[in-house]
Amino acid sequence: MTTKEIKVYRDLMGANEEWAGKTRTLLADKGVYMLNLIGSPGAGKTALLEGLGAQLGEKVRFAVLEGDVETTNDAVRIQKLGVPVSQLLSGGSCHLEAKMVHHALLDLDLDQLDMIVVENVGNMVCPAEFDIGEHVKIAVLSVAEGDDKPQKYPLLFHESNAAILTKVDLLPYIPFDIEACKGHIKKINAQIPIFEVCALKGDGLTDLVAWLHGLQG
Amino acid sequence: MHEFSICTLLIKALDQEYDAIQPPPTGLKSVSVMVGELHQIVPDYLLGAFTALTADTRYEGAELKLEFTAITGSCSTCEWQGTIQPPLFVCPSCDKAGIDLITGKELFLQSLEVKT
Repeated sequence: MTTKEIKVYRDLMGANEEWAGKTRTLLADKGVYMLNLIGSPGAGKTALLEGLGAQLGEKVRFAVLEGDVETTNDAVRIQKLGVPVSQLLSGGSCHLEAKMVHHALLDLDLDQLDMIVVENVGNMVCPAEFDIGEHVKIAVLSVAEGDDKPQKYPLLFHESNAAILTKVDLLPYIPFDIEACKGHIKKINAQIPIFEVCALKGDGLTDLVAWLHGLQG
Repeated sequence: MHEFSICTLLIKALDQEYDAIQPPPTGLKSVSVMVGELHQIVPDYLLGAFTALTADTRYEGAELKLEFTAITGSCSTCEWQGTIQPPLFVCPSCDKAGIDLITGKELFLQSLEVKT
């Protein structure tokens, strides 16, 4: 047996990037803006969407793509708001990939929409690595998770265009140093805005909604 | 799961390269992949995923060789340049945020060693 070495240099993310590029072209043609919400399971991403639904929906026509490993529970919650929603089941995978998102977008009536919000699979590692063709990534971190999470998952906060700290109504009851947490985020990514919200009570959503409106130009 | 996803991408890329080789090889001896440390890949998990995902395929028994590249960058504030240790993205010289990455995000199929 003889062997032969073949040099290649092929980017493993190449196929994903290709689909992400197709999505960007599609969204640009339709004038639709896309957000990618990333955070751990239980960070409050779906509750945040429920809270935003009422306020954002007054001025922005938006749809939600719900990424989960299993169940349609989150899509059912969003559907109650009267917002178009598609459930993307990753089937065990810990993140959404660009091809799956692209095909989900093709099923939506993009001419009737201004914004797509993708709720990625609950995970702070993998979704930060996979470009799905979004315009901005947003890191969602609940105060119940610990103020050192930005240090533990720096890539997510480095790649994100904003950070949202959720469940801030719990702050009086838990040892979470919010200023330290914000400091950790600013050390990783000095430019990004940090929003403090309690989605269940609607606190802090006004600033976030204003920022989202500003994104669309 | 992270490593399994990346391994799936590797095998897709491998298929494309392997199928293009003329004359068709009789088997795969090894495959080399460059991995930036920013991907936080656990080598044993990726090697285990490769073994599992190539079992009963034409790549069964092939060796996966990993070459890791360090996270390096330069500081936009003080122009420091070098290898970045945790805490990542914070300049070790001036302690400010604003590190521009030079290496560390690689994820490349580098070479194949095929049997002929």
